[in-house]
Amino acid sequence: MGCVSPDGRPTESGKKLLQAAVESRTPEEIAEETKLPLFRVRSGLRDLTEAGYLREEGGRYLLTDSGKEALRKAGVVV
Amino acid sequence: MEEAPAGTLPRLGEKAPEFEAMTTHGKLKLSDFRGSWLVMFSHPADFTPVCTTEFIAFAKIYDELQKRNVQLLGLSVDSVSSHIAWIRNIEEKFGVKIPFPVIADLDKKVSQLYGMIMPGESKTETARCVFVIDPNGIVRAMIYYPLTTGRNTDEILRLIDALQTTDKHHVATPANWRPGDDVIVPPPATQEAAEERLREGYECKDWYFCKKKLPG
Repeated sequence: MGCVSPDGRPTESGKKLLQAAVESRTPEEIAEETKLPLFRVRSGLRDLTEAGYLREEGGRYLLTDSGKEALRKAGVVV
Repeated sequence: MEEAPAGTLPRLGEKAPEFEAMTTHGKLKLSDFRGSWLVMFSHPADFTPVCTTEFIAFAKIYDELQKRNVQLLGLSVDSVSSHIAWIRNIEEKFGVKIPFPVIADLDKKVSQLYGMIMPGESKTETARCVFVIDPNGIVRAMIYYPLTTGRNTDEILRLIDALQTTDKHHVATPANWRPGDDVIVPPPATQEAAEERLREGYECKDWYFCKKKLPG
């Protein structure tokens, strides 16, 4: 999905997914909330997890401290 | 351009080979599409006229495919930068936005995995292949066209409708079937079933050839 830019920061799509994962959610729940196709959500969550913004527990995605910080920088209250 | 070995061919009814590839929408795995139907198609090269008409035609059926829970995924052996430039050119020159991802298969890994290179036609480009993969990751249909001949996207929609009708109603579809037409009741497997078949109210030419209407 291209959720992480080459310099390691979340893209606009990445921020949208991080925002949807403020509460622990499954990819299906995030796709429902963001109205993005599930395949794009799955690949985006994978990118954001590899970049350290999310962690996965039992099929649910949660924000890491880096994820919260990235949202704060984007002006989103976490 | 480097010649590529032709690779293997997937088989109908078998699991579609998993891959991870760079696309115009980032890195995607085949398994990311689990739960949706997928039409994966290859084209020989970016910035070529027949391929441009095909991309426009695929973009035009995109909404119809979405209604049927079908995603599209393009592929050629060009780079992501080339794909992006071509997609932008199509939008600028033809006013058509390409909404689906396109694999940049520079190392030909996916092309070889799916037998998309037909050395008799071109040793370096992918042919015009279409793979219909169902929500469980099974290859349900394959279409191969030569480099010179653009595909018929109406047939791809018809094929999806037929496959989904088969799954939903456990029937087959006759030649040139369209949604709303009568469908074929699978032939009976036993003599008893063949005799029962003739009493079930289907439109039968004979015990092996029965059609029925689907509910509204």
